[in-house]
Amino acid sequence: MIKTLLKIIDRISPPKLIYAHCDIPCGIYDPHQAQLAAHTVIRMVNLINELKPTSEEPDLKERKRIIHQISRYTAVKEEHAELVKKEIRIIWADYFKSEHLEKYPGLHNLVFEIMKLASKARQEVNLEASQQLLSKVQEFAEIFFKTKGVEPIRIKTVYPTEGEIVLHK
Amino acid sequence: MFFPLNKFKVVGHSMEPAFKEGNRILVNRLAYLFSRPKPNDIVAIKHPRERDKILLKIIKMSLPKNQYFVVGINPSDSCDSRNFGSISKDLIFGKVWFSY
Repeated sequence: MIKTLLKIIDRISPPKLIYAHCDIPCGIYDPHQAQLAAHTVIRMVNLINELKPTSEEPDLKERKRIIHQISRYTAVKEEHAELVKKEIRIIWADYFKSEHLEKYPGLHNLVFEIMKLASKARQEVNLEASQQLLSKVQEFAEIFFKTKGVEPIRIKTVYPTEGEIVLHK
Repeated sequence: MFFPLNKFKVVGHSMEPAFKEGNRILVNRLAYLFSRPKPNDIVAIKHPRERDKILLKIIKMSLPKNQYFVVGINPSDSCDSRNFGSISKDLIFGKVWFSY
């Protein structure tokens, strides 16, 4: 009786949805994007540092050019440092489980260091911090692949940063 | 407005065979007013990151400090405490009363 009544009510006021599945396809995680973003941060710092005026006393047009370039590089640096944080947070929060932490007890601290270094890379034009950021993200990627049961390897990239990227065999 | 009984339609397969996609369920939001959730209770929970999204799970175990470990009946197709950790009682939206 109640069930019939509820079915009639549903026709007037449809039920809300309740999800008995994953919000996104679980198991699709990859630290690749975080590494690319960290490389981009380094590249932007290098580009900012390489900017030189064409003369000792640059005119207004030249000053505008430099300011414009710095603004663009800084915007990309900001965006990609934040992307590092986002990608790492997702893998850390959604993928890693307590058994991973038992095997890699330094994982929480590593994520904490990545967050701080990414913020520092945003706040400053700091090549050292940016390189440390990439290094920590690579450590994170190595742990990730080990938990997946595959052997991580470091490959030299063809990026202008000339650094490495962690993949797996 | 607060309604003690809420109707839902199931989306997904993580709770099969007990709850199939398209099944309709009635959830009692007052079920845990004077009692604690216990293992094997079928519950509607708020997604820990998207609070307006309601998930259908089963309580696998009670943990200290009003924390609960929830899972799907089909673990391979479920996003649950194995992913987002244990949940607190305030994230439990209600207890599934029956399906219709």
